[in-house]
Amino acid sequence: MTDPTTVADPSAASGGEASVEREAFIERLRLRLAPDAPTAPTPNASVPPAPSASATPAPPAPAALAFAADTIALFVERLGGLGVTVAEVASLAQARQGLERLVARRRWSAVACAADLCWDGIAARHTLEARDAPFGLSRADWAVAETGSVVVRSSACVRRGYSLVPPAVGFFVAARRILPTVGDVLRALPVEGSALPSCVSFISGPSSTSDLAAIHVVGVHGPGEVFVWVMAEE
Amino acid sequence: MRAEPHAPLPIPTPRAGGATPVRASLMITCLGDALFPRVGVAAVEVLSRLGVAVDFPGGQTCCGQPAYNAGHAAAARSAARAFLQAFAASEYVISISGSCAAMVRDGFPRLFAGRPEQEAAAALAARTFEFSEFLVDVLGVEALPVARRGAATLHHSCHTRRLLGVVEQPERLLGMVEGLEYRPLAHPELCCGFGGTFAVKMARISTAMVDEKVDGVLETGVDLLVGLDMSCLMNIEGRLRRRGHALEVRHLAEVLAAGWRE
Amino acid sequence: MAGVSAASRRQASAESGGSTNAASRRQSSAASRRAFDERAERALGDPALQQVLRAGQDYVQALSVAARAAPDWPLALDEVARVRGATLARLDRYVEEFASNVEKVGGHVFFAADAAEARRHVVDLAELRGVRLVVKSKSMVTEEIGLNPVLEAAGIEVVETDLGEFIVQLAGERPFHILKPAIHLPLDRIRALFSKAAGRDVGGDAHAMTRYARDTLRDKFFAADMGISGANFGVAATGSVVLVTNEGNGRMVTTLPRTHVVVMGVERLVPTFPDLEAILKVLPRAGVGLRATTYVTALTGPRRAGEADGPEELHVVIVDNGRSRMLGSKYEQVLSCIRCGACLDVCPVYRKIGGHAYDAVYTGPIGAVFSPLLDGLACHAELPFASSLCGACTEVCSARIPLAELIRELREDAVEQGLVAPAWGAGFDGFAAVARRPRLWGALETVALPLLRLMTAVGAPLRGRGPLGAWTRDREFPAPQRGSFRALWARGPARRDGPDDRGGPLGRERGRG
Repeated sequence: MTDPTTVADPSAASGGEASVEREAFIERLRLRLAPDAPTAPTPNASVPPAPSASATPAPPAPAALAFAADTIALFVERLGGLGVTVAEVASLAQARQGLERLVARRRWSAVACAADLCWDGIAARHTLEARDAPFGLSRADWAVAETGSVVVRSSACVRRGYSLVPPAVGFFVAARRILPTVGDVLRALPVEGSALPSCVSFISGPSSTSDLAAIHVVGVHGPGEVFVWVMAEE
Repeated sequence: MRAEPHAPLPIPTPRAGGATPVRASLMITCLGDALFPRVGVAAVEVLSRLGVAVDFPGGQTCCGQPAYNAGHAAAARSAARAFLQAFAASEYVISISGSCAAMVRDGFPRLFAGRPEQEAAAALAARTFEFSEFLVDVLGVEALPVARRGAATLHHSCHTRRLLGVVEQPERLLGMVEGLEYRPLAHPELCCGFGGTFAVKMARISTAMVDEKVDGVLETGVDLLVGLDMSCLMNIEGRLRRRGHALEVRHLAEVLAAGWRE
Repeated sequence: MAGVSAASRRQASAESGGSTNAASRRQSSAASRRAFDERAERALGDPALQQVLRAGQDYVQALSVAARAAPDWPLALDEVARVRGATLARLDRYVEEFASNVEKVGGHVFFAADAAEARRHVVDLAELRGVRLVVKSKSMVTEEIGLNPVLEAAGIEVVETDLGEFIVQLAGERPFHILKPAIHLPLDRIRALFSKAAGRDVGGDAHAMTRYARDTLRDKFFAADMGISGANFGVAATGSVVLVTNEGNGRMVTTLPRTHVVVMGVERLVPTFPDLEAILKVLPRAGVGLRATTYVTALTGPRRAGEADGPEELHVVIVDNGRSRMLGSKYEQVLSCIRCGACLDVCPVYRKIGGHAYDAVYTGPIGAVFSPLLDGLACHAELPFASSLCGACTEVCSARIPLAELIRELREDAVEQGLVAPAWGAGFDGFAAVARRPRLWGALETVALPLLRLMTAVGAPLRGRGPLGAWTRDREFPAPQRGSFRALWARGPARRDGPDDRGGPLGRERGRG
């Protein structure tokens, strides 16, 4: 057992010994696989489609489908099925009014959200800190109709915590950002890791569990209440 | 199963017919040969009445399934080789056991992959059928002059269901029996717990499984349990009787033969 | 039973360099078998557990039946199998790609050849960072490598935050099911566990108990220095780690603590994000009957410059621990598993004995294959035989793994490795020798059938005894008829040899008589 103080910092840039381990590890895999394995990785190589896949037409470009009325209707229906409180509104202004009324009704002392999402109507209660806030607000980058999901990317302004830490959370979703399936969002993600934020979250309803004697309980570690405003116009 | 009367059972004669009959060989299976000849007789009777000229290649003994499933591939291959030879000249092979038919269709190609018998195995697999499957899919039976009053349930057998894909064929045949009400099991897909050597190697678990199957059968309130595989039926009936129930248990062929009205 | 636990057997086997003595191997597997029988007996004799197992399976099957009936379901499974298979076929390349992309976004990658290396690396890192408290979200691999005890031995508090794992951690038990670790525990037992930990009665209501767990663990999330998670999938093209969860603890564990460590099996990769489509369609439906789990979280590197939350450091520990051995072998497909749990939910044997009887990290049909491959067949020699080969697992498998066939293959390996009592081999060889000789077969039937008739006529006194004892202990044996079918056929009706029927369809039997 080596003295921990003399162990190389595991987070140091990989030097001699670490890359020997890495090479040996990869070599063990390579030896088990086909002998003519190419050694240089092909960046962003997707799995080539199976020959029989030609019968299936490629899915239409997401933008063309995004505003389809039935996509929105399906999204709203699926949200309802997940126990999400959803309101369809005409514009961002109406969504904001809706949230102001909700905050007043629930007497929430604070609303946690990114600075650029804040507006006069909630400025008095606005906080950047998600912890201890009763409600967190995020703008959805995308949504998925089939599963009733909202998709949020983290950024310098948008903290992961806004959609995670408070017991109640809400999302403003522009109708044109609702895509039909999860696959549509996956295809919309950038192909370079460096173009991705550190966190992209698909959120489908409130947190839940059935681990306690198979009894379904809503609101575990993540939020127990979810609100969505679907805005016809952003 | 009750012991049969002492007189030897007659082998039925085929229905007189002008057209060239379908020729098929009966696969009696080792279990059928030793313990359930009556099922083979019933199968031959039904097939004959349907215009099939049935023969019985005497070279057949066991397809090797018990050895194969227990991990003894060499012994299985040895038995299977003899089996291949026994049916080499058969046009069709009809098995009274779904799992044995599955052994030929699924197990033989695996056993003989890359070996000299590979082609023969594939050829035999292509001509081997389970009894109900043959009646419905090959003979195209849509009606039968069979009657039997009462209510029956059906145990499909795992290999028959999953390896052969035979599920609705026996149900359709039962539906053709006049006067017979079919009540499906609540859990028709649940294994009866036989599993070959499993019933011996893991006896306690096997018994627990067959108990659940017996409970399911009793819950339907039927007076007849029908099956396609004598190993499963032997297992379920054996437990039924030990638990004191007199419910009748029959292979599908027996039900059709016994209820046949000329 | 410490001496015969799988973990200790694996360790003993590794320490002794693996026993090559056939007799001692059989002895060890016999002891293992006895222990298995005891565990199975316990499960079989527990009516409450039997009820939980039956109801649990029926419930999940009912939830997923609609999804499985959809016409595109088989296509989705085919696609999952295709993506996973294609990834495994070039796993060396994808692992390299993944690792380099994790590093490109500021993460660190460690390649652990085995459990010991993986454990050591995580502990060393924790010690270097002065970690006092670790919060963990569900990870079977950390269970597999035995991480928690080693962290605890180093004086670090480890808290499982997945509710089911939290419960079994309090109970000091192993997880019972891949997705539902505490499903075997009744509500009042959980109440007792929570109340003891809380120093007060938490109440008998599931919601109140969940509230207790939430409040307790919330403090831990915020106080922890390190979060350790598994990874449902790694995306090679971007270096992303994807978590598929319901409770939110996965997100907490991977967002709040300063250091995030991912421990993942080397096979848990897909090439690109779009390749996850079929998997994300199938996994929640097959596992819990949902269109989507509450959270699907894609983590790419630690927090970026300017981001206000997220871990400052991300470390990915990629674990081999025997997986590379499975590549290129007849068992390679087992690495395609997406951990949906569907096989556990349909297995008729699991339905009777539950997860603990397997004495392994991975249980049920997938465990019956994966555990022997990871730990060595000698450590789990009975698992491949604890199956009736009904094929339900193969039928439902999300990744089209032919589990029943792999279980059967393991039986062949067990026979070859001398882990099966020689009497079986001799018996089957003898059986085959007779099967090759139809005349001998027929002659033996002539001798055996009257004996069987005699034994069944004797009936009750022979129950559980004699050659039929294994059968008659619990079942009646059918009284055979007077002759075999072939004997009957050979006799036939008298008019068969008459002039009308010569050469007719029921002519003389073919082949040897």
